[in-house]
Amino acid sequence: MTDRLKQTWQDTQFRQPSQKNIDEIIEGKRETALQNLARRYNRFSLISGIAIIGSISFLNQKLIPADNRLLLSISFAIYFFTASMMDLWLSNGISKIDCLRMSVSEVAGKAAFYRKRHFQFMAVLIPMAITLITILARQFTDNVIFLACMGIGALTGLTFGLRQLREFMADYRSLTR
Amino acid sequence: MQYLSQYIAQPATGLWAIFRFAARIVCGAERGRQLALFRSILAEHDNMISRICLGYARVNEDFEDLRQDVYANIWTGLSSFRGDARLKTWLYRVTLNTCVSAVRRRTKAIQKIRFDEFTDIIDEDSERLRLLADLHETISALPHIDKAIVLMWLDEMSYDDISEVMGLKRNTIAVRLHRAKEKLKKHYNQ
Repeated sequence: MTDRLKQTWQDTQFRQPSQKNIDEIIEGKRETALQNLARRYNRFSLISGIAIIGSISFLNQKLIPADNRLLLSISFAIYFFTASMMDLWLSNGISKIDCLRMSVSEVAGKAAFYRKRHFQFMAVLIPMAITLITILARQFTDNVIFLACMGIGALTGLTFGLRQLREFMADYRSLTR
Repeated sequence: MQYLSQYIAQPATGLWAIFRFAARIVCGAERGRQLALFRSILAEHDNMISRICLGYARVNEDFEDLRQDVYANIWTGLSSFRGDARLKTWLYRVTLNTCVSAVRRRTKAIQKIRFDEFTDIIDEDSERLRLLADLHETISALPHIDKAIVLMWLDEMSYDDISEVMGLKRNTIAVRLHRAKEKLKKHYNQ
């Protein structure tokens, strides 16, 4: 039975990739999934980095009581800085996975390690985000319109964030079982 | 000063032109070598590479993506590959590494593998296709490391070669392969 399985497997023939795909590879236009992932983390890191600048705008926000502006501004800046550094760390780590030179167990181990870290970082950032949004919402308890807008923004963000999380979870395979 | 600079500038320009011409020849020759090697890999090893990608793919889209990613990595690696490792071992390493580190974007979860969707397989023998589909489903259920070992075992690679590619000790390979074979045996006895 084993011999038959081996023979069947070895005898399997495939159509070669199309010339168009080969040309794209030779011209360097093809990006691997791993490179794409590293680039995605890099992009999120940059967006978070830019958001730090946005959090400074709380200092001038007249709707927020003056006593709380500095604290809110610093809190949001810390949050976005943390998110940016986490994504940058993940991007650097993923970029260091060398499929050409490392052994298979090493690559599988590193990929699983960064996957685990990704979820651990989410476990830190999501509660932080919820806490900060709640604190921000408490500043406007007498402003229904602002609260409604915040609610819509939070729901939109949550929907988008959950979709991204689902895509990330679907993206990664379970590498060590 | 202008008279003097002419005596410096002209030979310097000439030397620079010669250097650029020589660099172009060397780079062109190097790229030619890389292209020739890439095409020979495509001709001689495509089936081996495709089999491994099939082992890690659950749908045809994954299979095609994996295969292209593998070839992209091979192309990148060929510029620095100097034959310090055997080509076949190196190809197995690059292919398996690409597959185990693959990140797939899916719009919905794959409930069941539909083997007939793998349209790049050339075979008209329905009995062999059925056996292949069954084998593929069994292999797909294995953990990634065991899957890599089984795929190399199916290609009749030696334990030493498997150990080198996997970066695991020979004994570890033997134990994991034995467990995977038991699972295969159990499946086929049922």
